[in-house]
Amino acid sequence: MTSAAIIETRDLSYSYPGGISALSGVNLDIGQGEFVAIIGSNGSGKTTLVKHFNGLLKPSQGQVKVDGLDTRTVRVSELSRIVGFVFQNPDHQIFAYSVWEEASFGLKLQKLDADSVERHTSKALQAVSLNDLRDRHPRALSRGQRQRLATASILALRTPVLVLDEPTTGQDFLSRRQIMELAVDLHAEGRTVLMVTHDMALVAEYATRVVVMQDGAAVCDASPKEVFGRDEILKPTGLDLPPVAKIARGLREYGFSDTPLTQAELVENLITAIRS
Amino acid sequence: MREPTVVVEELTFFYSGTKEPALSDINLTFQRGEIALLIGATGAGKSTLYMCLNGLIPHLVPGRVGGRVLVDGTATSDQTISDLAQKVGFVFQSPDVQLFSHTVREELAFGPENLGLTKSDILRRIQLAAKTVGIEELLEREPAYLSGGQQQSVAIGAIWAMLPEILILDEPTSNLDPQNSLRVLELIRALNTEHGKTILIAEHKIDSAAHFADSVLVMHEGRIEMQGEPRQVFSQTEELHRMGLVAPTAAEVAFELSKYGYTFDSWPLTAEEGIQAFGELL
Repeated sequence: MTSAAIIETRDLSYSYPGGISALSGVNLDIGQGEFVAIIGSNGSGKTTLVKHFNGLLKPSQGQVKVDGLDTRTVRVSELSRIVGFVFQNPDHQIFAYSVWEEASFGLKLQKLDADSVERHTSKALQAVSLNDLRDRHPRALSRGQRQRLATASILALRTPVLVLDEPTTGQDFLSRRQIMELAVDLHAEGRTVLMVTHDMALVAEYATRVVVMQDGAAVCDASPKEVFGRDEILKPTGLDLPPVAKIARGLREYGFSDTPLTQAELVENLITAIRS
Repeated sequence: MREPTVVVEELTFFYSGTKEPALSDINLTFQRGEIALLIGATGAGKSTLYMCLNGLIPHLVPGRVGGRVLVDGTATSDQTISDLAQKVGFVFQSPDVQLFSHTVREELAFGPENLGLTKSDILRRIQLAAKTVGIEELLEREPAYLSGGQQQSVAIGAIWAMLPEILILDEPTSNLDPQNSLRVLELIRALNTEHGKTILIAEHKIDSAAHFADSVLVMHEGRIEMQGEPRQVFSQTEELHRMGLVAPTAAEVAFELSKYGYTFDSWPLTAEEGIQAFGELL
């Protein structure tokens, strides 16, 4: 365990009202500045886990600390200054009458002066290509645009930790890339990014660490190369290898030995292998 | 010989108050029993096209229409929305947008009830739909508490209970994990092969959907820019990139390798085909 852990869970267990167990005995240390993917099938506990990081859920047993604060003793409003949470379904989050109102709401709650609100809001909207639509009603946006607006309103808060729950669901190729480039930029600024996703290609391309959830437990915590390079890790979880890793795996019987994570890497490795 | 269920002729549509057409000069034919995959970036016109097929355009959505759409041989403008609702079923992207009942049974009953069927016919439709999509065990459950894959099956079942000839599915697997996605795609395949339904499916997850369809339609800025068999469409990688789209990973890798002079007898679409094609080069 490093002293720079910004999120720590200790024997974290959670049961939903009615007794259905969703998490059991999760121990994780997320270091400041990591880019972590949390993967698992539908119902494996991914979203339940990350909801503990901003205090939306409190542990039934065990403990969660965010920046050293026990989530059971601090207020959600205080945690929200540390952890920004972008929901999977933007319509669960969006409520304002204009794009600008929506994106600036959190900043106004923080009682920043008008100039700072304007500056941070514009920057966040520009990052998701919505600044030109700042007066538009959110309902007049496409689903993909609403997803980007939901992301911008959290970005504007400039929290040190960002949780993205399925950030690219239903996005076309270009919006997907745009959202992820944004996450990469924030990570490069030193922020901690946690991403919950089913999209294995996204995990392979962007994450530096992968936590695999299965039946409420963290069953694996490793690098993308390890997770996608070894059969026994993903098989029991019902998840698929990303297409690039699947092709590389199949090529092993032809003597190919690399574990590329991106398409460009696969092409490069293939060219080298063909020529040798 | 196959017969067309949907024919779209020189279709153009302007939303009320707009100067740019949302659809321009669309010509399409769907054969009975065909699975067509529709791809296009956000804003390409996919949703507008769906609305032209189920009659929301021209009956409900204000705007200016040129050309025509024939469903089952009759122009949509000469059929009522409720007639069309029995022929063209639409499954939304997120099942939670569509599902609203307290039990799965009620959800499945809603469409048939609105068709004014007798009680015994409604019960028969519920049984049939539940059996077809594999949710007989879930009839008394509340849709909100089902898994994503189960919810999507209920959403498809609720449309299936109307016994439509044509099924439109808007990104049916976007919220699902790989196993549930596969389950839903297999269900769609079964509806097609066992019941001969015409299916139009839009997907961004191109790696799992590419080889699944009989034909692929590519929309860009309100037009159908490409149309053909999957292998033919996905071998035109540069064209797809120009429209902000990508081909399946195996096809993209083949395209990159072709820049180095490597050639392929059959353009790979699936990971398995990619392994075979690239393995031969090693």
